[in-house]
Amino acid sequence: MKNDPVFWRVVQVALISVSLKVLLFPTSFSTDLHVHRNWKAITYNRPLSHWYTESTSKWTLDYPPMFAYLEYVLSHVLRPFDPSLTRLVVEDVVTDRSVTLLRMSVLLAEVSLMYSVYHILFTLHKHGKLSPSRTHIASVLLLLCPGLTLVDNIHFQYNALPISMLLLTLSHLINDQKHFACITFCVALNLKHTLLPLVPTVSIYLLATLPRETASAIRTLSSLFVVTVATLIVPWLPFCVVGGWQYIGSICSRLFPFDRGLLHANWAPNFWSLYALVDRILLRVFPKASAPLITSGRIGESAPFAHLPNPTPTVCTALIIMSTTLVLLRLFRDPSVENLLTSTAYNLQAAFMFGWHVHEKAALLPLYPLLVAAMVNDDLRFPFFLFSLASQFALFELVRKPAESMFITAHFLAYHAFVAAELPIRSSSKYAVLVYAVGLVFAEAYCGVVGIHRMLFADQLQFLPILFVSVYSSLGVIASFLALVHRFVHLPLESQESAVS
Amino acid sequence: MDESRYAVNTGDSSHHHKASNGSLGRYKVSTWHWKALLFFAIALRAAVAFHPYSGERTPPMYGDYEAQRHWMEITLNLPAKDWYKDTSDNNLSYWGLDYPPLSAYASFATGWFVSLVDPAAVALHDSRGYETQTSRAAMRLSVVVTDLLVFFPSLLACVYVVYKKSKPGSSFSCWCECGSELFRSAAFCLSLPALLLVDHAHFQYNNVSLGLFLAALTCFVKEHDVLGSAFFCAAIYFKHMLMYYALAIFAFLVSRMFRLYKGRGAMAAGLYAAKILATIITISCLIFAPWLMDGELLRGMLVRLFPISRGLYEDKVANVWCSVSVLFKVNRWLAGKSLFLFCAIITLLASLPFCVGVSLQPSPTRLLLATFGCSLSAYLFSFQVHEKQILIPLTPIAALHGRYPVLSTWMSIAAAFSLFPLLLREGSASAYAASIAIHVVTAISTPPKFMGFGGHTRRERQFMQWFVLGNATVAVVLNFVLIFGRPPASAPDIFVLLNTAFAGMHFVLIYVVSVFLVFTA
Repeated sequence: MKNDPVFWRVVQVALISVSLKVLLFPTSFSTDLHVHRNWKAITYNRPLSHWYTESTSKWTLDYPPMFAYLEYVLSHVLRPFDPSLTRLVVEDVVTDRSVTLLRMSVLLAEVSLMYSVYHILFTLHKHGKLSPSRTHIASVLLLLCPGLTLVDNIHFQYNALPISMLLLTLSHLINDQKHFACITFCVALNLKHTLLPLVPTVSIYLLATLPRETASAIRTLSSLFVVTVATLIVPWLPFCVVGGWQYIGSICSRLFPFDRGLLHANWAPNFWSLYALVDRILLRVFPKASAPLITSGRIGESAPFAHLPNPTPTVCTALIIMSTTLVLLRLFRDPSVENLLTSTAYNLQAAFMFGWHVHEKAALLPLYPLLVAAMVNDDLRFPFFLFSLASQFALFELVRKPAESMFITAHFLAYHAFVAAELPIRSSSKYAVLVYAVGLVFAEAYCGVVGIHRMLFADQLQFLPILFVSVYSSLGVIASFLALVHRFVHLPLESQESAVS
Repeated sequence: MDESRYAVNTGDSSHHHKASNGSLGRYKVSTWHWKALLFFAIALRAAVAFHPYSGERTPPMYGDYEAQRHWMEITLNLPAKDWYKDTSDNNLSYWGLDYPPLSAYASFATGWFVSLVDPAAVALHDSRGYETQTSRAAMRLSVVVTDLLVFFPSLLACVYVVYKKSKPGSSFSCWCECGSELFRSAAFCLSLPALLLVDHAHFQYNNVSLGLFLAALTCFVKEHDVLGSAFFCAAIYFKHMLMYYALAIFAFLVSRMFRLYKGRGAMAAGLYAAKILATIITISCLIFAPWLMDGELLRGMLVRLFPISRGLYEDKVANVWCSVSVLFKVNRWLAGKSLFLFCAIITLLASLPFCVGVSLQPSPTRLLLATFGCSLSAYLFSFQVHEKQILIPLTPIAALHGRYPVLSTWMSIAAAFSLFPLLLREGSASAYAASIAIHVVTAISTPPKFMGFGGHTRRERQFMQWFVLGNATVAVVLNFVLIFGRPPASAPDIFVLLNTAFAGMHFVLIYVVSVFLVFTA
């Protein structure tokens, strides 16, 4: 490691990153901290058979089994330092000591992210895709992403963990270590099931890079199948043993809450946010007696729209599949590193665009592969920059507190100034980014915690800034998505390119 | 985050080499890099500000935060004549104003800002111990704003002129061409842990006084001595402790005058002195205007500013008197006025080499070294020293980072270390550790140019390595002993004293090194 140019660069950035996150320990957290504390209490106090049925507190466990095991381990590690951490109670109570311990446990997830960042950057360096100095820049951009800091270290979640598994999967795929890739991907799925839309991408890449001869292809395929099924199923087995198929069914209904409605409380900045806006405008123009009330959130409404057709989960899934088919075909024909990264980013973005009940936090998943792809491929800088601005701005809605806002705004600006310095866009599309960024400044001035809206209306019309942020961000996200589509349509395949030249 | 990009000392020799050549080759620092650095500096401040301030939730006296808030309350609600006077509205025994008038005016301005956000936070009488989320955020923001208005511009200007003076060409547009060295120095200065922790965690406005001082230095380097003296005066009238610099500045100005006398005759020299004196008098009159007419008021103010009755040192300080107090106590041996005189004489003697050095050759580097040396002598030997006053010597040496990276890093870390007992007491130990780590990663990015001779041979490098590693280990151990150790009942302060004495030892070492430097620079 002493002569590894990537390692020490990542270590330096990692030190800064950890220190910055330690500084954020006293920030104000959201209810998600209570959620995760409660999950630790559940897994500590209850037998396996009651993990997914326990409902003393309203924060019931709704993450896949691997995450439940992780909470189990963490609860046993942390309990000696503060027994009140694992009290199973109805109310949201937490001691200062518990908060510090929980914040520290997030740093453990962060360590896993650091390792995966090192891994993928080393791989890309080894394959000649990144120079040592570019890996340094990439590690800054990957480890000091304000969006992840906001969600993980202020708001409180463990997103660094699934993201690190995703990066490891990509790294193994590039390294052609198919079995490791399968294992890490299954772990990722078992940590965060919102990675499911990536299954076609990974499988198609695996298929496309199988050995040429049929015999060894079949051997590889079968061993991959065994490994995949094993890692995918094994975490579920204990639940099946203690509770039978019925228990598995109830876990699944927890994981996929289709009854929660299309839109999350804060509209995630995606296609449906614009769709909902159009519906609202139509409702203004053509009032309807039986229209659903306009509130900031519409959790659990199966039919939120008054004029436009109300989509079902099937429609959402169909939209995702339709928008990704061509890209997947392309990946099958040309399984290059660039194409793998771009398709991964694109497919996750498509899932974010059209998915059912998407959270704004889910935007972090496409952001990371898109960043890696933009580091490798200059053409993707424009969609990355736009997506990064829009999706991370939408996360500001999670912390509307003065001190936290100041920190995250400065961090956001520093990050994007650094992106502008290191990933400059050379085409005229940079003006589009500039215009969008200026718009963001106005949006923040209006919606911010000491913004114009709160000065004018105090606490009235609270939905207005939230709606404004989500719609403006969704414009950026959609533009970035279309830019990716445009790239896919206009770029010749590598094989064709070589044929022409 | 951006400075880490320039952190090239990563163990691979090719990059190390490139860095010591001065330019980083293909790394070109664009204006976006500078913007990123500035925003990151703000984010760092905002992050440190999450940690507790001095005296948070500790009635009845609270701490420095409450002092600043109380001054805002007093200056905002009372006429200037009553600011330093004990009246029914102004109880001087409760955090009475004991800073000079410019500081009081600044309190007025920040108080006005805070009252915009939360009027109750600065209401007369009723706001004592007022601590809400909003008012806290407004107070914290006001420090960041003063940073942006005063400290950042003057710091960048000073680092720039000091750096530029040793390179040809002086157009201001070449900020970017100066490249990564200048950028690194700026990153270093913007992340000084001692300053960050005192201003943004503990809560004070040192950034304003030090910013004014840096502006003065910039003017002196650019040979605008009249403007420089005006700024220096303003700095002293913001925080009179900045008089620690006065000897060095005085020696520098006298030396410049003497050169004028030799070059262009007595007329030019006399005019020069007259201009500077006139400036000082004008500035003083302007700032003291509300109190000038009334001798009684003026005397009352001066008594408040110089509390000779308060003792040799406050708490445990990393200066010589406090460090040697284990062996023998100076304040038992001498008392009152004679102790004060004794301290003054020792301080003068310790400052003398620097004054001589800067008089012999009033160059920018020597000016900065002399201000550093004189203020360090004052910190080490003078009367009534607070632990936070280490920021005064720290500032000029940090601005010299471009020339003496190792010395200024050493000083910066030692200064932060000397503040540890204070920060631990206030509950910001994690902020201390984290901000030092961020700073160190920035600092190790610079190649060792220790005193102009270090790091050339293998043995010197090895010595440096062992020196740094050994001292860092001792420092960490001492910090942990202070956190977890239980002192014997006979000496309850022994661990604090060990920490400060260790820092004091380093300050003495740094003092010796800088005496050597001021004659060779």
